[in-house]
This record gives sequence, structure tokens and C-alpha cells, in this order.
Amino acid sequence: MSKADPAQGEAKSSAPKGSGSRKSLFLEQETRDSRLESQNRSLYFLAGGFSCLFMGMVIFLLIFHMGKGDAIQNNPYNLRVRNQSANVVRGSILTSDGVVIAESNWNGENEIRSYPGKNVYAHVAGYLSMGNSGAEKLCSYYLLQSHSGIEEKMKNEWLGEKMPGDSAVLSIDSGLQELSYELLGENRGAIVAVEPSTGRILAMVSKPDFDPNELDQLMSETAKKEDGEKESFLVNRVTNGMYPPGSTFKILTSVAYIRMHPGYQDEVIYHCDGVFQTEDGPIRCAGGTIHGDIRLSGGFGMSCNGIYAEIGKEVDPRDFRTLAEGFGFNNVLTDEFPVSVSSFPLANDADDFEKMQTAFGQGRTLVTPLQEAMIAATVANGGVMMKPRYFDKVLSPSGKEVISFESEEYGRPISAWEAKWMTEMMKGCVNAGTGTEAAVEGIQVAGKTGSAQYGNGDETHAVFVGFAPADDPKIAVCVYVEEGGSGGKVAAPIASKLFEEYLKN
Amino acid sequence: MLYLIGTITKYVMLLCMVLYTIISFRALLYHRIFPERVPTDSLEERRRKMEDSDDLAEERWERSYVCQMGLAIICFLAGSVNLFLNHLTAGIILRSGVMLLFLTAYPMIMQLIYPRLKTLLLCDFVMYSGIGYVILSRLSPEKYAPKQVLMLIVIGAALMWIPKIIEKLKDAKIPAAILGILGLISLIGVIFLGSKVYGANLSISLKGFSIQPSEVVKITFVMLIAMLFRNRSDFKRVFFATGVAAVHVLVLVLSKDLGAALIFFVTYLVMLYQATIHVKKGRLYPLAGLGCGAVGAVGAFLLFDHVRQRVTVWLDPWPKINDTGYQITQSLFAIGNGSLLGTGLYRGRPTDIPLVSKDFIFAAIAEEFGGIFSIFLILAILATILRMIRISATLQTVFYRLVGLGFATVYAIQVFLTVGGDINMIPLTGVTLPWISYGGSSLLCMYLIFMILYGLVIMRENEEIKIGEEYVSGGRPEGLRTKTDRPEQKKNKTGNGQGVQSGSGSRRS
Repeated sequence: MSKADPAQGEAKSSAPKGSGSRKSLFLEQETRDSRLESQNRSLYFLAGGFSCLFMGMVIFLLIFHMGKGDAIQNNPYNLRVRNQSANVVRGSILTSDGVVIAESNWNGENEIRSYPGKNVYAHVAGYLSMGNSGAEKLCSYYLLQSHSGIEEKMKNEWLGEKMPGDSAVLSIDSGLQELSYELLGENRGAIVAVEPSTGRILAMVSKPDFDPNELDQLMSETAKKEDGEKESFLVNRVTNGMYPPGSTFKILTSVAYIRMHPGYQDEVIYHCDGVFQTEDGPIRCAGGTIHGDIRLSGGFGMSCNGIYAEIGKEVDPRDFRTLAEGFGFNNVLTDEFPVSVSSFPLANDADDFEKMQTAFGQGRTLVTPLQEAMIAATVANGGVMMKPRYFDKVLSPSGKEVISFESEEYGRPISAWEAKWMTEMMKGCVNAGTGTEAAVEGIQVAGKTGSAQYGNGDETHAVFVGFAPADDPKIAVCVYVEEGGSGGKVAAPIASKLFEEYLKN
Repeated sequence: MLYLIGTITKYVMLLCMVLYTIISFRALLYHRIFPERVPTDSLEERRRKMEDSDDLAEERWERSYVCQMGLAIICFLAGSVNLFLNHLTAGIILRSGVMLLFLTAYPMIMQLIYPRLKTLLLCDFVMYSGIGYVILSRLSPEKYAPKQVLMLIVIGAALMWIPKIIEKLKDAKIPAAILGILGLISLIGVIFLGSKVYGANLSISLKGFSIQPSEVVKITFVMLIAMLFRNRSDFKRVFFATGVAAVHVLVLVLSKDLGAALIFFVTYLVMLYQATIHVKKGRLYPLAGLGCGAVGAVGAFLLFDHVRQRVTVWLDPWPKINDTGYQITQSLFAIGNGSLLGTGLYRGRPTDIPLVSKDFIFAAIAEEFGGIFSIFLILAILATILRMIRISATLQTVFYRLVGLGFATVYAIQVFLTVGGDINMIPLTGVTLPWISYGGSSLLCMYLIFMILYGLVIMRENEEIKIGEEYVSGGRPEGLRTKTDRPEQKKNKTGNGQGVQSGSGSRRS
């Protein structure tokens, strides 16, 4: 045995000298045994430790594959997506009822992307050049996947042809989309319709628009134009237009007020004489109307600014902000597609005038039309706000469903009771208030009009938010007509036609 | 047609990997069972029983060995066929042929030279270097693969005699000390002579060859620490050994090779734990070590910009995707794109990942061979590490036990750092995946580890044969028997080993 024998180690130090005798050898043996035993036990412990470390990696990897492994792929830095276009013909984009709004044609040499929907679906479909947008961006990864059958894959591989890509089905309803486009006419503005129970976007129109087929040409034309007009048609006003909410914001103010007075039964009476005097100047009702003695429901229905100015002084900005942020203000609505963040900047120490302005939707509050539609949809859905989305499912080239996306809850900013209250008030607004033109025969509509002042002048944007049928909501809309004038006269009739189209067909 | 063959070979590789791992774990459960010693047995009877038990052990080992070797070679062949499908050049056929010859012949030659070399580590070597060759050829058939094949063969041939030395070596103390000190000197040398690679002093260039001393110093470090703890583990010795380890770690930190510093640190802690386990309150040492490590980690975080940067990138790489987070997000894209079954060879885009041939080879494997394949690869490596620990557990000499354990730790931590880094489980440390990643220094390190372990296996076989002989001949003085001295104990328990030692002890006395 070598000198490095363990017997000479610990054993020697503990055993008495003169280990030649049998007795001491025996002791030495015992000590060494227990030492090797404990060393082996520690080896098993270490082996267990390494096993845990490695199992940790395996579990981490499995979770990664089950979870975000697929979701992260849709990223502009992932060249795999672009690379796929060498093997796969980009798939089509369809509306929920099967109308093709983007497709690729293979002419033997090149792949040509065309948009049969032209201007009507401009902002829905988006574009591929100059950085993607719209559904082209949202669905990009899936459009370049191919879930065709194995025999088809073999055949194409054999012939050296590209695989047909999967197609993406959006939640957009073609009838509603086309009607919205038509109704907005030559105005600038936005129309968005949402299914309250799921958050699926049914229609999304933004004007000015463009024809995606001629985008390159349009871009070179705009390059010559004055700075002010440049590229504004590329902006999807539904998701990225920032507007003052006008009187439609009174929905939130009313909730804040009801919340302040638990068990509120609409008992307080307010007297309106058309002008509400404040230290910083008068606040007038739209058109100088004098509402006389009214309750909250009446003030909401008739869109009286005075009563809301009074409420605005009373509401604690902290609570108000919590309420607004519950709806998605100052927050990201969804991370799936780009939506501007609606802002509610009311500070805790804001002065009375700003509080009053904010209460009836002027102030510094800015919303996107999508945010407005989501507020109406939340009221319609009993206080449950869903995450907005417009990507429904992925179909394989042979039409089989590959992936179907689920709706997600965004939050519950208001209680079911508050939602019911607001529904009643919004019904009142349509039945006997400023929103009568939104009514549809045979269907109870709930809504709120707004005429949002912009700049310093008296001109207003026309707004309407609402949903129908009030007792079993199927659709919530926001119509925003820039420089349209009165919400009740311009926006409400458009909403009425949309409700009719969607609910009667 | 090509598509079909490509897909089939992909699944063949996956199947091989899965079966290989299962057999590998099953083999861990086998151990030699010595026959019970019955006093009335005649000498003839004892010999017969011993031969039976030998036959059983031999048969089991043979079966596992043949299966695993076969699977490793089939896996390599399937990968090579896939390479031919996509990149048919004379060079690649030649290299694959050479590689096939090497992978089949090398274990055979080793066994011819060392008839007692009975270990499944031989199969592990074939499996991992086979996978490494396939993935490196796919990544760059002209740049990485030829050099890697050349290095595998040259280093493998050059180091074949190491087990012989270990078998012959009577006392490892002086060689271990000399090598340890030389290692430390070369490590310090890198700070002054080294060339900068990615902001860290890692390698010394000599006439076109660049060598990364920290890879080889891992071996000498383990031997040095094992030498220090071979017969003493009192406070003074622990203090001294800790000082030696601290110098190594500090030198590596100074040359900004934090991944290697971490490997050295953990390896030392594990060896310290093992060496002081029988000392009263010995468990306090590794605990104190862990404390120091935590302080050191915080210190490194505060002191070094690049450490802070890597930690922030690890926490959320996406905001920095076009900058410091580029590597790891590309790796995640690759792993996610591969999904569970993999894209198949040449159908992914692993070359988008910077440094894919070294630090990110695991991501390339996960993308093209698939998630399941990569998970089973991790498990197979775990089996290899457990096998190393078992070799260490069956040895009698503290020095070699510690060496075996130290090597297993080096291997385990290195795999954990690189795989964990690639999947963003831990911050990136810039460590290569042993046997698979491209690089001569890494290969040299792994060859040394495996060769020394082969030596230990042969040593163990020699010990076992002695035990068998003693069993047959009736052993040693009756007075030396203790109650734990039961020859029928399982082989991997140390109890049986006493026979050898008490025998020698009696000779000594």
C-alpha cells in the first residue's frame, strides 16, 4: 500500500502509538470504518444534490417549452420568422366570416402580397413594408408556419416547392367593418366595435385611410407633402389616436360618485341654470341648455356639465384615479398589438377647476377609441373587462384549426351592481336624453354621447359609446368623428346603424 | 425524399438518446454482489461461488456496454447520414468515416491495453463526442469540424498512457503537488501574458495554438486539494487548503474568468465537505464557505460592470434585445423554435446565435434535435456524473476518492453553468459544454478527467480481484475481523473493501 493510505490519516492521530498490537489495530479499523461510512453517506448526499440541480434544469426547460417557448418567437429580432419565407408562402388573413383581406400569390418567381379588402381593411390588415403593422405584424409568425399534412409536405419537398402557410382568422366581422367604413364617410375619425363578453374586436375603422396595395406609391407621394400632413393616414386612430373623451367620461365620474355614496338611490336633486360659476370662469352646458332641477340620472342622460362639475369637486382624485386605472388608463391595455396608453393625469393635489373639468371629460384626460369601447363593454359585461384582441385562430392550409386563442380577463374595475346602475343610466340617455338617435327599433340600446371640445374654440368632436341589447349585450361600440360637432346628432346615428346591422343579421 | 430521410434520422437519434439514457441509469443500479461466506464451504466451493458472481457481474456489464455503445454509434451514424443529405462533400464523408473509425476503434484499443477497464464512461465518451461532431459539422463543416476531429484523435492518442501511470504510481503526493503548483503558476501567467478574448484574459497563444490554462488547471487544482486532504483535515490543514483555493479563485477573478472561478469555488466546497464530513463540526466549513461565496457574489456584483450587466440581462433580457441581451434572446428563440421534437438538422437557424459553437452549443442541439433530446442529454450527463461519484465511492484511498469526486463536480458544475445559462435559468457565465462544444482546451480537460477516472476504475478492479482472492483463500488473521466486516456486502459499499486494507495492515505490522 502506498504512503497515502487513509489508514494513516485520522486513524493514526486518534489511535494510541505503537499500533503494532492487535488491540490498537482493531481500534484503528473501527475508526476507519466509521470514517469511510460517513464519507460514503456524504457521497450519496452530494449525488442527490447534483441530481436536484439537473432535474431543476430539466423542469425549467419543460416549463419553457410548455409556456413561452412559442410565444416569444414572434419578434422582429428573430430572423427565423423572416427565414421561414424562404420555405413557406405567407398565409392569408381572413375575417371571422371568411373574407380574405390579405393573401399571397406565387407567380413562379416572386411572391406578391395583395390586399383584396383595399382601404376598408387598411388598418386591420396593416402592411409588410417599412416595418410591419396590423394583423400582418400580429400574426406574422403563424402565417409563416405550415401545418399542411405530411403527404403534402413530402410532395412539396420532392418538387422543391414552397409550403403553403397557415392562415390567420381575425375576429373582424366583414359586414360590420364595411358598414363602419361607409358610415364614417369622408370624416376623419375612428369606429371600433367590441364583443363585450370576450373582448374580440368586431370592426376597426380609422380614417384617413390608405390602400395597402399602393402603399409604396403613397409613401413617395407623402414624402413630397408638407410636414403636417405626413403619414397621418398610417396611424390607426382606434388604437393610437389620443382624444379628449368629452361627456362620455361621465360614465366613470358617475361610478366614482355612486361609489362614494353606498346605497345611492338617485335622490339628490341639483339645480342647473346653464352656467356653473367657478373662480376660474364659468362652466356651461353644451349649447347653453338650461336643465333646471335634475337628478344624477337626468344629468347623465341630458349631459349636464354643472352637476358633474359639482361632483368633480367632491370626488377624491386618488379614488378617481384608482377607478380609471382599473379600466386601463395609465396602463397597457394589451401587449399583443400596439395600443397607446390612455392617460388620466389628475394629481392628488389638483385644483378644483381641473377636478371639475376632468369630471365631465375635458381636463387633460386623453383616451383611445378602443379604450372608450372597452369601458362600454365592461359596463355591458357586468363589470368584467376582457382583454381586447382581434386574432381568433390559425387554420392549416387544408382548413383545419391549428390554434385557437382564448379570451382573457383584464380585470374587474367596477362591481356588478355598479355596472347595472350604469346600464340603467345609459339606457336613460338613449331613451330620453341626448342619445335618442342611437335607438334601434325593437332593441334596447344603452349609450352615452359626447361632444368633446378640442383646442380653444367651440368646435367639438362627436363621440358616442354604447352597447346593445342593453339586457343581453352582444356588441359595444365607440364612434369618434373628428370635428363632427354634436355627438348626439353625428355619432349616435352611426352607432344605431351599426347595432341594427350586427343584431338584425 | 430527402425530407423523409431527414425526419426519420431525427427520430432515430431521439430514440437512441432516450434508450441510451434509460440503460445508463439502469446500469447505475447494478453492483457486484459477493457470495456469502459460509465457514463449512470447501475451497473448491468458494471458488465456484466467486466465479458465478464474477460471471453475473461480467454479463450485466457486457450487456449494458454493448447496448450503449451500439446506441451511441447508431446515433452518430444517423446524424452523419443527415449531414450527407444536406451537405454532401468529399470532406464531410472523409471526416465522418474517420470519426466512425475512431469512435469504434478507440474504446476497443483502450480495452486491449487495459483489459480491466470495465466502465460505461467509454460509451459516454463516444456518445457525447459523436453528438458534438454532428452538431459542429452542421454549424460549420469547414471551420469547426475538421479541427475538432483532429484534436479528438491527437489528444486521445497522446493521453492513452495516463491510466497506466496511475496504476503504477505508488505515491501520488509529490506529482500532485508539483502539478498543482505548476498549474497555479500558469494561471498567474495568463494575467500577464494572456490575450484578451471578450474582455477576459483567458488564453496564452503559442505559435498559432492558443491554450486556455484554466481548463487544464481544473485538473491540477482538484489533485492539489485532494493531496492536501488525503490524510489530514484538521483546522490547520483546512485553513491552508482554503488559502490555496482562494488564490486560484482570486487569480481567475482578476483575469475576469468568472465562470471558471465559480467552477473552482464550488469544486473546492464540495471537496471540503467530503474531506471534513467525519470531523467534529466539520459541516461548518462548507457552510462558512457558502457564506463567503455569497459575500463574494454580492461583491462581484457591486464591483464589476460586466457582472451587473449579466445579472440584469438574466432577469429580463427582452428590453436589451438589440444590445447585451442579444445572445441570450437568440438562444431562447432557438430553443423555443426547436420545440419538443426539434426542427431537424439544417432546418433551424442556430447559426444566428453568437458563439454558438462554444457557449451556446446546447441551444443549437435543442433547436435542431429537439427539447426531448436535449432533456435526455441532460439526464444522460447526470448519469455520467453519478457514475463518476460511484467510482469514487468504491475506492479505498482518500486521495483518489477526492480526485474522483472533484472531477465529477467540475463536470457537473460546468454543464449546469452552460446549460442553465443557455436556457436563461441562471446568468450567462461563458462556459463550454464538455465533450460537445468546440475547443481544444476543453477537450484536453475532459480527456484528462476521463483518463484519470479510467485509471481509478482499473485500480478498483484490481482491488476487487484482491478481495475475491482473499475470499477464496480464506483471508487474514481472525482477530482483525470486525462486525462490519462482511464480504457479502454490496460492492459499492466500503465495507467489503476493508479486506484489502486490513490485509495490508497486517502485512505492515
